[in-house]
Parts: sequence; C-alpha cells; structure tokens
Amino acid sequence: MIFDNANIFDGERFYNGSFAFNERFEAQEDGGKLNLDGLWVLPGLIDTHAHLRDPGQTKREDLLSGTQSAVHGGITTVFAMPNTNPAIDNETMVLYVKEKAKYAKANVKIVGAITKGREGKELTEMHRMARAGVVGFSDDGNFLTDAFLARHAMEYAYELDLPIISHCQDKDLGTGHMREGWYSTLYGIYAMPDVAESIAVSREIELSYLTKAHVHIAHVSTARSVKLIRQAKKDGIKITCDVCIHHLVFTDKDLNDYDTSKKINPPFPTAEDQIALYEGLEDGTIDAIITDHAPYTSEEKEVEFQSAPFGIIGFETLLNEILIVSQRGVKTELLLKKVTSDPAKLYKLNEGRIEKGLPANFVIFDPNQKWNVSRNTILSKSSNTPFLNKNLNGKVIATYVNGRQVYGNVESLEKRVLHLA
Amino acid sequence: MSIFGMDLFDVDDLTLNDVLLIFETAQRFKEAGFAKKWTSLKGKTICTLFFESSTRTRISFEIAAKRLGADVVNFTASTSSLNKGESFKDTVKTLDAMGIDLYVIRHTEPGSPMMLKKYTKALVINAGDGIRAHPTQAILDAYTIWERFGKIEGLKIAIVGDILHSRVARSNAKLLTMLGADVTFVGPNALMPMGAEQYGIRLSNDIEDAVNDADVIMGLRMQLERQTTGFFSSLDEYNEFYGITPKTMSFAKENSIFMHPGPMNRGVEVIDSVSDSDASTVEEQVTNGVFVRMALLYLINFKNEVI
Repeated sequence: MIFDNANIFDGERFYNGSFAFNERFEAQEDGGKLNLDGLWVLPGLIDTHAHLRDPGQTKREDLLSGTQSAVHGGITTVFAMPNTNPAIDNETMVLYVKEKAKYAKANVKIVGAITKGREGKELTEMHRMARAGVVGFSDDGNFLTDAFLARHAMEYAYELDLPIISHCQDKDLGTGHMREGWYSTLYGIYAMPDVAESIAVSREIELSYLTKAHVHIAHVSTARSVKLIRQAKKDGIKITCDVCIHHLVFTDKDLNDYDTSKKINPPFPTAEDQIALYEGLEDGTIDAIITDHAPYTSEEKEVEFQSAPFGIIGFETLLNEILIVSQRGVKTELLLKKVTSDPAKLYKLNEGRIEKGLPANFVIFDPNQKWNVSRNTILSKSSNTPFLNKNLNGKVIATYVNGRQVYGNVESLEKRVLHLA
Repeated sequence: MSIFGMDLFDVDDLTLNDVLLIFETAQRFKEAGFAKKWTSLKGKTICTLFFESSTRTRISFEIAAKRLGADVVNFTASTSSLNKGESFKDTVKTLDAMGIDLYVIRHTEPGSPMMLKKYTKALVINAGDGIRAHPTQAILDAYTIWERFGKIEGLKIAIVGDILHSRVARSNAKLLTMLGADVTFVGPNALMPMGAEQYGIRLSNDIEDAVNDADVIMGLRMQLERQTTGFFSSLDEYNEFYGITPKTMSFAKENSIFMHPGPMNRGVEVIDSVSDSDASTVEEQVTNGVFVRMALLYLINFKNEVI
C-alpha cells in the first residue's frame, strides 16, 4: 500500500508526497493508493521523559495502558523513568521491564536509576544496567544532592557513553508548590524561586566539565537555566536539555483555579521565563520537547492544592499543545523536530524521520479535526490533565509502529482509498 | 449591584459600592446594639467549617449568625481532613447531605473555599484560607478605619510584620488600595512576599520611615515557629527593629490608631504600652467583626432591603 498525497513531515520539513512501507519505509512499487489529502504524516513521536508507573503503581498506569495512551498521542517511542516501585535500579529490573514491554503498544526504552532506590546514597550497578540496554541514568524527581556521588556517576556514564538525565532542583530552596513570584503571592501558595533550578543546573555544568560526561538537564523551566546552558554549550561542555510541553503552554498565572491537574514539578514558568524557553528552542539551546507524562489517580489528585502530588499526563495532548504553541509564533517544523529527529539524534536512536530503511514508525494526524478530552476518550488510566472536558484542535487518526497499525480506525482510513492502481 | 446570593472568596469579589453597603448595614446593626435580636435568617442553617484552629473568627461568625436567627452548626477538624483518612471532598459531601445553606470555611490550604464550592450549591464565605485571603477580617478592619476617620481615601496605612505568612495583609492590601488608601508593607525582606508592590502599595524595611505621618499602624501576628525555620534570628532582635513601640507611634500622626487582627504576641510585634493605649482599636475591631459579619450574612441572604 502506498500512502499518497499526504502532507509529510520527514523530520526536517513538510512536503507533499507519498511513501510506502512494510516493517520499514520502502521504495514505492505499484499498488493500491490511499489518498491522505489534508492529513499530516509525521515520524512516530519520541518522548524521552515519561512515567509509566510499572511496576508498583499500576493503579495510575501500566506498560500497556501507558503505551496505548502514547500511541493515541502519536508517540511511538517512550522513555520510562525509573521512579517505579521498586525503582529500576538493577539489571534484573531492567530486563524484567523490557520483557514486559514486549507486549506494549509502543517502543519502551528504559532509564536506569543512578543510586539504589533513588535514595542518593549508593551508586547502582551502572555497567550491568548498560549491558541490559538502558538509554541513560537518572534519579528522576530526586536531585542527587551529594556532589561526590554525582561526580562518580558521571564518570561511569562517560565510560558507558550514556547520558545522566538530571532533574535540577536545589533541595532546600526547591520546596513549595509553584514558581515564586507575584502570582504565588496573589494566590497564597508556598512557592520555590527560579534559582532553585539554576543553582542545580550550574552544579551539573561544572561536574560535566570535570568528568566530560554527557549531562542532560530534564525539563528546564527558567530563563536563568536556559542562559547557563546556552553558555555551557558555547564553552564546549557536553550539556543538553529538554523542555516539558506543558511549560510551553501554561504559566504560573494559570493556577488561579487551584486545579491540581496543573500542579507539576518544576512548576509552570512565569510569562517571562516562558518566552526564554521559546528562545531556547529557537536558537537550539533546548534539544527536545518531552511530556513528563505523570499519571495520578483522581483520588490522589482530588485534594487540596498543596497536598496534591506533582504531575500531569501528557501523551495524548502533545500534538494539540504543539499546535497551541505554534499559534503563538514558534515554527511548527521546529516544534515537531523537537519530538522526532532531534531526540533521535540526541539519544542515537535509529528513528524519528520518514526515510527509506528506517522502521516504519509514523502518525497520521488531522490538524483540523477536534477532539473532546474526557474520561471516555483518554486511553491513559489517569485523567490528570488541565484539558479535561475541553475541546482541542487536531486529532491523531492512526499510529504505526514497525509498519503495524497500533492505534486508529482502519475503516475511516479505508474510506479514503480513492483510487486503486 | 448587590451581593445577594454570592460567595465571598476574597475582597476582590466586591465592588466599591458593595463595600460601602456592607459598611452602612454594619453601622445600622451596630446602632441597634448587641441586645437586639433579628429574625432575618430564621430557618437557615449555617455551618462553620474549620479545618484550622481559630476561636475569635469562629465565635464571631457564630454570634453574628445566631443574632440574625440562623441555626449554627460547627465542624472543627484539628488537622487537615486528609490526615484523618477522610478527604475534604467526602467531609463536604457528608455535611452537604444534611442541608446546609451557607458555609463559613477556614482552612490551612489556599483555594479551599473555591474547592468547597465545587461540591456544594450552598453559599460559601471564606474565613481564611492558608496564607491567601481573609476577606471578612479585611472588611472589618476597613470598617473600623472608616468609622474612626469617616473616610479611607488618602489615609496613610502601614502594615507591619510577617507579611509573607499573612492572609490578613494580603486581603487588606487589596481592599484598602481599592478604597483609595496609601498602603505600605513594612518588615524584613525575609518576611516579604515576592512582587508585593504589584498590589499598588509601597514596601519598606524601615519601620520609622514607613510609619512617618501614618494614620493607621497595623501589626500582624508573628508566628513564633518561624524563628526555628530560618526566617529571623531572635524574637528579641525582631522586637527591637520591627516591633511596634510608643517610639514607633510617635512618628505617626497625632490621632493615629494601632490595629491588630489578633491574637497578639505581646512583647514580640507590639508592646503593652501600645496595644493597651487609647490609640489601640484591637477590641473595637473584635466588636465590629460581629456587626460586619452580620451585615455580610444579611446582605448575602437578602436583596437590598434596608434593615
């Protein structure tokens, strides 16, 4: 089957064309043609920061529901963070999750913990986890405060040619439930200053300089962090970073309704910081966009704002949010690159582009169709999203992994078969 | 416009006219005196829902409601309902199933009155939510000033102390600037909330400069546990540099008043010779609290009928 007349984004730019595939994208031969007029075809999206909650927290999500949710959002590769219960902090755990993920809808890549139990006390067996195939190391929500341990973890990561993914947050300053500023004063919410992040970022830059390790800063959210990372890159230090899609859409002001589905760590940026994030994307300081998909049950979230856990689901609204950000003036191609070819390059993944020979991971997306985000339409087990019961522009029609349709309505696609050879 | 049928989450829910109507109504209730009983709220059930300990505010609301003829039930939880295993939502739904007409809620969490409103059709009055807002305290403070000076516009008001943790300061900053006062927050920077100048007020670390020519000096309760958490070093030092003393008052205008929302830490934010002086309106604020809350309860339940 040839998919024809589509608006194809190949990982760099849009063009109108056709493509063919089996397990991989292939040369076009004669055959049936499916007219995708008006639809976008994108490489399967790559989300390099997500919480699948499996094992141990499967009330919130599991590998199957999480990846169903991912493919509903057009995401075909997901990085699972190790803050599970127990933590993914040894080779056996990595192999166990990998085995279980064979039945998942999307590709699951595993990030191993830096310290045992993510407690910041003892290094994990990083060589063995690397042997089992982890794509990086992270203590995820816990910033490794012990700089001595962090240094040695980076030294191992350097040997293994894998990145350390760092959630940068000073332990003492980084308390509170939103970004400190006028709105935290107005809303009466205990808050953390922006430098709680950038102080930790600067330590990681210095340690990366010392150890030569690739340190990847997760979900930067402040102008000062972007500035430090921009300079570190200029200085030739091996620092990369990503930004969470929600931080490109929402600001601290939006917490006026105390919706616990808007509570996230790091917290929503100020409007000024958000502009710095857009600039960071545009000048290449920020390497990727992630969802930080963090499911919580409604029981956990339906509590007072300051008692609620941090986290928002993100898989299923990623493309919708990209459209929102593009309407504010950031180029659509740039935003799409940051969830396809750029993270692929960053983590040396052989995907993220529509190109002959690569695995046929792709999404068919209708930018003009609306969908209603509701408990009935979300495929995640959790529904902690600020978009709940709202209509969003743009809808994933179908998602393919290795040439196999993993999400989508086949009939609606076949109606589009206009001409057969 | 009237405030009939509305919830009160913070002072910015009110217009200037609403505030003046509350003042005038409170004044009529006050003129009638404590002895006079009313029947306006007969048949209404008001629930004071207190998730944070408080005596004066709860009792003030209870007296106000009973004086208007309402039935009052009190719900108090010593700590957040979460710690007891029952969620806030379930607590509210349980009470709501018993036919409450109006809730007066006090909670440690900002935004909790709005959260309560999600689970009930009853009216909601915020009696203090975390460090966010305490609208009835601000209204009774403004009423006290209005009663003393006959106006609020153009008055110079210094609010002194632990602003960061004060919902009273936040609601007062909004209401007093809305009424045209010239407000200054005074305290050490460690206890000043970020961006507070955006209330349209001035910020100062120098108490003598800030109270210079002031009409009103308002003290705030210093929460003593702050001392161990790095906000300041000693109560003694704090009192010396930020405490309200007769010397402080001497910089203010001759007929200036000292206000305090209570409870006071004597010897910390204020010393006896000020709080017990003729300039002090502390007890008057408490008295006015009852009449202001009567006015609010009355106006929320009735269209603009003049009593």
